[in-house]
This record gives sequence, structure tokens and C-alpha cells, in this order.
Amino acid sequence: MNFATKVIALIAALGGFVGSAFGHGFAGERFFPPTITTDDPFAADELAFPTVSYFKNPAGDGAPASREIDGSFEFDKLIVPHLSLGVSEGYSWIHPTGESHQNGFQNLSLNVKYELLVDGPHEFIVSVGVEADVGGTGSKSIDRDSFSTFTPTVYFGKGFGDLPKSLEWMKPVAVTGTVGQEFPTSAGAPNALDWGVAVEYQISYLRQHVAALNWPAPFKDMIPLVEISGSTTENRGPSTTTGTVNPGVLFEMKYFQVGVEALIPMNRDSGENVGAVIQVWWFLDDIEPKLFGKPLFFGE
Amino acid sequence: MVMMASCVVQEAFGHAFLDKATPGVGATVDVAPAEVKIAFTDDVNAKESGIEVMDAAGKEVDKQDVHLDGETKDTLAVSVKTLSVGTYTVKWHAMCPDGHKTEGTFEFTVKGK
Repeated sequence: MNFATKVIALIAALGGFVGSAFGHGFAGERFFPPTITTDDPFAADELAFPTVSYFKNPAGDGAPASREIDGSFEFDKLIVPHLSLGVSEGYSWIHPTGESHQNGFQNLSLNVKYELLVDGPHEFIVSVGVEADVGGTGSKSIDRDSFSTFTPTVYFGKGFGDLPKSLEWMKPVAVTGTVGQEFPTSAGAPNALDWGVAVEYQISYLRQHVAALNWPAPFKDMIPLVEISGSTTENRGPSTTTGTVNPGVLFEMKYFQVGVEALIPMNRDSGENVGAVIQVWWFLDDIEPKLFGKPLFFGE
Repeated sequence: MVMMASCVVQEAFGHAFLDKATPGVGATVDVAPAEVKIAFTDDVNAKESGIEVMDAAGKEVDKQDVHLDGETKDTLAVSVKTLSVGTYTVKWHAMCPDGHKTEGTFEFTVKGK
């Protein structure tokens, strides 16, 4: 067994600290759905396509305000138990006020994610990973970064199914979040702290654990949520925080999930107009269980 | 988009989740049931799935005869012993034919007349 194989086998063996979490994102009895603006903490076979957002960017740094539509996809694949690799790419249509349209591809983004701990009875998970924005791979026409940015990230998820019976109506609540530290490879670009949190109320969890509801599909499996995501620069100028507060709802279907959220700027630096995002996530392990839901190597 | 729209009225989840239970989740019943039945959102492998019913003291009160209900492939049932007034916990686990596993817990209460 060569060195690389030994390393991969060790990573897979460390999954002994982790409960079964192949395919869908489960911690015990809790299903954690993929969320739109905050990455979920699970290493799984998933495809987000398409994600389409609309936002009006504020003026700044000598540039006018602009309307922007982004379309993107993300694909993640389990490589060994509890470790996934992912790739995402997007295309932007930007219309600056008083200027001509700018269209083009965003920089390619890669990510690796490893489930460090899954505590089923407490519906808790912690994962770590790195996201890499590969500089120069996008279109110059939209002024993509020529430098790369690496963001080591911690992901977590907690379901509240372990609350006492006196608080059983809060049991459907789940929270996921991420904290990542940006390290751009350009000396002129600031480091930044990327952060996000999603607070969900899962109607399906309510029906399955607390009280039966006679609601029709798709409402009986919907998940109202609020996501808050942003970035705080840390150097090379005054520290600024920008981000959005995103109320919305996810609808769970048999083979996919549809989510829609409003994008509400959290401060003036983030903008003054409300945007929107819609996303479709495909549950590949349900669509084709023979191909997806299991690691490429060292699968059970 | 047409495909997505046509899926709207289908059941959610490719995994086998609890869709409906008898007694219902969180229900209070006047008459003690003779069995607990769970209808899932997908077909289940009866040999790899199960239902346990415990009383408030944690003692198992089912007859350990989990079986598919009638001719269905998505509904499991287990007979229970004579239940007295009180709250009972149902623990279930299910496996779809494609190997996906799910689990869950809920309570029901026998109130008596």
C-alpha cells in the first residue's frame, strides 16, 4: 500500500468518530437540508443547479451601482467516507448604471469538506474544509479576481430534537452555520472573515416527531428559514461588514429541493434594494442510488 | 420546469420517512390500540426495518412482530400488548429497497375513557 493510499485509508478510518452520514445530510433523526447562501456541514453527493440570484449592488470604489444576475451550479462528490470534493462555477450578467452590460464567467471555485464529528442523539455535526477561489479562471469582462483566495472553513449543524417535552414545539428548529477565514494570494487584497448562519423550522420534523398535521404537499414538508451571511474585512483599510439577511422557504420533493429567499441588505454598505435567489438542489443518491450516495473509495 | 411542476404533488423524500402513523404522532386516544402502524413516504425493506413501542418506564410493550401491513410495501405494523393509560414512545427505523436508512421517534398517549 503506497503512502497516498495509506493516507486515504487513515482519513476513512477516522470516520469511526462519525456516524453514518452518506448521501443526504443526516445527524440521527434530523435531516439537514442544503441551504442557499450558507453551506451545509455535510459531505454528500449533491448537485445544485441552477442557482439564480438578482441583486442591486451599491456604488463604491469609484464604480457605479449595478444590477446583477448570477446563475451558477455546484457539484459535490463523496471521495472517501465523510470527505467530499466540490466544484462550482457561475455566470454573471452585470448592468452598471449608465454603462454597458458586462457578462462573463466567475472564477472557478473548488472545495473540500470533511465531517469531523456527527452526534446522532444530539443532532449535531461539525465539519472542516477549505474553499478555493481560483484566480484568473473567470472572465476579465466582469473584473474577476486575478488572484486566488483560500478560505479554511468550519461548518456546524445542530438540531433541537433533544429539547425536553415542555419545549417540544421548538424541536423542529435546526441551526447550521459556517465561519471561514479568507486568505487572498494578493498582497493588496484584504483578509476577510466569512460567516453565515441558517435558522430553520422543519415542518416535516414537526409532523414526524411532535404532532401530526393534515397539510397537503408540498406544504407539509416545507422548511421556512432565515439565513444571514456576510463578510468582514480585517486589514488593508477600515474594517467593513457586508452581507444580507435572507428569509425564505425550502420545499422538499422526492428527488430535489426548491428554495427561494429574499436578499435583504444588512447595512448601507451592502446595498439599499432587496434582491432574490432561487435554487434547485438535486438529491443524487435518490435519483441514482447505484451511482451516488456512496464514496468512490472505501465505501461501506 | 414542467418536470418540477409535475413533482409538486408527489410525496417528498426519496428516503422512507414517516408519513402517517396510527395512533397519530402526538395523538391522545381514548381506546388503547391493538397495534401501531406507520405509513412511510417510500417502500421499505421489512426485514431491515423495525418498530418498538415503550412505556413511560422504558419497558418494551410491543409483541416484536413487525410486518408489512396487508399488501402494502410502504406501511409497517407491530402488535402491542394491552396498553394502560399513559404515554408511549414509538421508535422506528426503516430501510428503503435502495439501502437508504432513516429513523425516528414519536409519542402517543392513551387517555382512557
